[in-house]
Amino acid sequence: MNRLIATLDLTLPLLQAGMGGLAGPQLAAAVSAAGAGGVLALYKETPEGIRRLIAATTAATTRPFGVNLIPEIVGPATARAQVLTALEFLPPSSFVTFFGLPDGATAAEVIQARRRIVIEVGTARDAEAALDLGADVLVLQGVEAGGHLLGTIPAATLLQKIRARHPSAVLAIAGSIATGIDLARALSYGADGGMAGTLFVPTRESAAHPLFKHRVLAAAACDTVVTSLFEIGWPARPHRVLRNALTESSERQPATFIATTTVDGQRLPVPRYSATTPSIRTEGRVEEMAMYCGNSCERVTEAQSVASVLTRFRHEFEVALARLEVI
Amino acid sequence: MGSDTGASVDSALEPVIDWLRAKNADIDVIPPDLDLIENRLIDSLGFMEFILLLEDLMGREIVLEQLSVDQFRTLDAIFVNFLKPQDV
Repeated sequence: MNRLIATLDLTLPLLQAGMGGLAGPQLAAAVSAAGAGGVLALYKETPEGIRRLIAATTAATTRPFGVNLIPEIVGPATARAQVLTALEFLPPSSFVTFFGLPDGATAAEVIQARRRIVIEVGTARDAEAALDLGADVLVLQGVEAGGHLLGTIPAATLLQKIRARHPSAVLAIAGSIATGIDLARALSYGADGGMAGTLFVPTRESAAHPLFKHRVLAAAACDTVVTSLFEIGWPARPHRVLRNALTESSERQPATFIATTTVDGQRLPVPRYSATTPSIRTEGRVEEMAMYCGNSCERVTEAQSVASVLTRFRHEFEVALARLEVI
Repeated sequence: MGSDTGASVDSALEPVIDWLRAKNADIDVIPPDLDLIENRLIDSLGFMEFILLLEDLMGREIVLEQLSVDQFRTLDAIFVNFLKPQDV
């Protein structure tokens, strides 16, 4: 049996990336209901927000789902508090994913609560550290991925390095997974599964702004760029976004407030160069905001429901896998 | 900078520093040139609350569309852009 499927009790070895602002209960529950691993983005959520999001997801699916935390944004103390709140409300079959390394105490809380722990890394050194922390699953992010980047090398290269050292580790790759064929190819390179973000941005259940969805559907890999421009709120971490007027300009514009977004019923101003991505709750100059997008966008061409997207994905995967096994 | 000027800077910035300390319990000294955004002393979710504090201290409204984050990135910038005596 596939190791990612066995570890997280999935029926398709695919995880959904915990995209802040986009991956709410609707998306996570739909992905999990289709047999993959849906993930709720907890980003900067308060304890009350975490409780509410988990309750909504639990009400929408009985399949295992995960939550995603980003320790480097909120700091170790808040990350640990977020984890403790999440563990209080998560069902037993759920799992906890971290973007980047958590500290030892935070990882230990997850393990002690008998939840599976998934850690996304982008370097061989961080992969070793994540395994030392007790990760059940490593997500190896390549530079092809959309959003914030944890490393600078392609996912296949990182996979090759880690697989050679850890033949029995459960390894998924993030970056360039948008079709079942992509996933089957990743398995043929030695991965146990994949993680996809861009694939889910245009789905009906994603909270991405309509313009963001439209641009992902229309984009090719050359329409993305790695930049450090959108640093307000998440500094010092390069990110792959869709090109826009800001990424194409050699001059920095003033970081004035260009949009508003609603968080927990409150209207919050969004400055130019903010890390905030445009969602259905955003109004203003959306076209200047950070639209995180991976190179796989050229194979993302339909805005359908998650169920429909993953039915096609599963079929492609099974056919491609059978062919690879024959070869 | 003379000592009188220094004292007026300190007293003008005192409520700002108090607000930053209340939001960041682990912070002790805040250097005047520390990037408050990059170091997350002012979180992006807290921009509105911080702008309301500045409005309160200035006694007038700030036009959001004309305000740049760079105008409140450091304590030095906050003093120069919002709290200098002629601006009060």
